[in-house]
Amino acid sequence: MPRISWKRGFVAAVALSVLAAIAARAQTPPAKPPSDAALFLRIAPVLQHPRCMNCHTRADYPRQGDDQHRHIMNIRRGSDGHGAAAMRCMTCHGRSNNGASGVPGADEDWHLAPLSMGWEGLGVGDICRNLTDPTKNGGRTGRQIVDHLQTQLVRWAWSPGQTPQGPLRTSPPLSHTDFVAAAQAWIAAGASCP
Amino acid sequence: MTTITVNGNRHDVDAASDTPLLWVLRDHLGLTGTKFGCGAALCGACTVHLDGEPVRSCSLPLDAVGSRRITTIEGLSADRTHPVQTAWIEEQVPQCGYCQPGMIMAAAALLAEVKRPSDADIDSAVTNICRCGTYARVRKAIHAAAERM
Repeated sequence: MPRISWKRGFVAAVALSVLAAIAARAQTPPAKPPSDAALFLRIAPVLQHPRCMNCHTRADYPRQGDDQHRHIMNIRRGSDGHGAAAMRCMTCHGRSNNGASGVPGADEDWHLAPLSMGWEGLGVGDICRNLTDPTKNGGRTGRQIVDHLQTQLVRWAWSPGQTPQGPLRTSPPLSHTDFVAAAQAWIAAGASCP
Repeated sequence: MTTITVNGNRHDVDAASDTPLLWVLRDHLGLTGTKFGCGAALCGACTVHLDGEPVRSCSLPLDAVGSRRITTIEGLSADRTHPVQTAWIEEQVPQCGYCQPGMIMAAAALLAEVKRPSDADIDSAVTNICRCGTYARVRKAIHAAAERM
C-alpha cells in the first residue's frame, strides 16, 4: 500500500472541511428581517392594553380600569362618542389629570373611539384589519394613523395619572417613542396583517 | 388674580390656579348653593354650567375656566321661576335637599339640549346621586318641566 504523505493528508482534510462549510452555508439561508405582518405584532400589545381598549369599545359605554369594568355612573357613549346629552365626557374629564379627584384628562376633548373602531373581542389580526380599513378607521392613511398615535388623547396613555383610590394607572408595555417607531416601521413595510 | 364671570358678574379671584371651581364659588364668592358631595366628579352635587354646558366643579381647576361664563344654581333664574325650579316645587322633589342644586342644574342642562327627553335620556344625563332616593320625583319633575319649555 503506498504511503500517503501527512502533508498531503492535512491539506486534503482542510479542503474537505472548507467544502463542507460552503455546502452547509448554501443549505442554511441567512436570517430574514421580520415581515411587515410580524411588525404589527410589536404594536399589538399596546393596542390591546386597557388604556387603549377602554375607549375602543364596541359597546354603548366606555370602560375603566385595568380590569376594564363598565364605566360607573351609567356613563354612555352618546350619538357622537362624546357622551350623552348633558352628560358629555367633558362634564367630568378635563384638560389634564386631576390629582385631587383622580379623574383622568388630556389636552384634547375626552371621547370614545367611534364604534367602527371598536376592538373589543377582536383578535390581533382583526384589530390590524380594522385599523387599516379606511371604511372603519375614519378614512385614515398610514401617515394619518401615525398622526393619531401622537395626539394628546393617545399620549395620555403614557401619563395616565392616579386612580381616585390612589394607585397609578398602568401604561402600555412599549414606550410611546418605541410604539410610534414600531408603527411607522410597520406602515413603511406595507402594513400587512397577521 | 384670575377674572371669572359668574351669573353675569365679573369677579377677580385671588386663588391658586388649581383650586377647584367649587371652592372658588363657595369660599371666595360666597355662592354656597353649589354643594360638595364627593370631590371626585361622581355624585353631581357640584354641577354648574360653563357656557351652558354642565360640568362638575369639584374637578374643574380655576385655570380651566378661561373666559367661559359660569352659571350656578343662584343664577339659573332671577326669581326661582326657571321651569325646572317651578316643577321641582310643584312635584315636591327634594327631601333633605342637599343634592338638589346639582340635580336641578343637570336637569336644566338636559332640557336646554333635549326638549322632550325620554326616560333613557334622563338616565344618561342626570347621573346625580340622591341618598334620599328622590329619583322618581326627579324624573316626574323633568317631564313636567319639559312640557312647559
